[in-house]
Amino acid sequence: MNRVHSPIQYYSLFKSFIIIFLIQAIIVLFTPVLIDPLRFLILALNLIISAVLGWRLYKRVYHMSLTYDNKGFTLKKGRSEETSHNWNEFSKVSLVRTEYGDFSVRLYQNAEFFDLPASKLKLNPFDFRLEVMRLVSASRGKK
Amino acid sequence: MTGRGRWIADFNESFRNFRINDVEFDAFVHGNTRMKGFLLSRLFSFLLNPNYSIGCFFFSTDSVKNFDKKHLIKLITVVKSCMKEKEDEMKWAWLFLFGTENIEMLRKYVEGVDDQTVGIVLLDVNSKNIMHSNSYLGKQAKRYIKI
Repeated sequence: MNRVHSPIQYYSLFKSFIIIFLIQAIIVLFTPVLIDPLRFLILALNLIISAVLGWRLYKRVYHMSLTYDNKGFTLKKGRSEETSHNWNEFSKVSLVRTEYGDFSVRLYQNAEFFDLPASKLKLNPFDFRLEVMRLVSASRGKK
Repeated sequence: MTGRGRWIADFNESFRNFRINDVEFDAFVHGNTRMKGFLLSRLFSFLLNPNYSIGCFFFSTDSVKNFDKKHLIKLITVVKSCMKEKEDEMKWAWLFLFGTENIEMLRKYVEGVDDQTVGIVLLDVNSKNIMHSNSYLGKQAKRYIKI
């Protein structure tokens, strides 16, 4: 049975919103003199455009989704990046904490590794690590 | 992992059921003595802390029937080989042994170890007593552990 984790990552959504807002703010800054009543209208318009385009930017670039079953997993970031692996390709599983305090489950393939960003996917990293360990050892047993 | 303790290092990776050859440690954590914080703490750490890669291996002695000196020596050998194998060679390593059985006998083995490269600590789970090897790292571990 496929399990899908695709929560909204609010930090990335906020980042997208700010990027769009700042671009508009710079454009407004360099436009010739604006009449006072228009300023609030432009600000309101900027906020609405930032919300709409920020959401689209977030979905296109940052949004992460993880789909997995007993055989393997697919991690998708934005619209373009998609990585798929089978659990039996990996031999070791660890839990890694990044310098920003995020947790990832690290899957080792000999010397190389692949990180599943547990915190960004709003998964409990400790439980998820145990689940991944179980899936890896079960699939290696079948190999 | 829960519990109390004092800051030794920034442990950033942990393994459960960590296997090296035919030995399986219950857990293994490794990190660095130089922590990665924000501006001030990063600067403080850069100026004052050594840049050592360190690791802690955890092993439950109850998981082996009749755990004896031979087992202990094997564990130490495996830990030392792992220290050298790591990309950034581990400078410090501790081996934590947890157990409830034959503690007195294990205490003699642990206290008799004179290897200076690995700190060995024996924790009696029932009485919460902490015993350590005679090395500098072993003695230091007692300062940091609280159970």
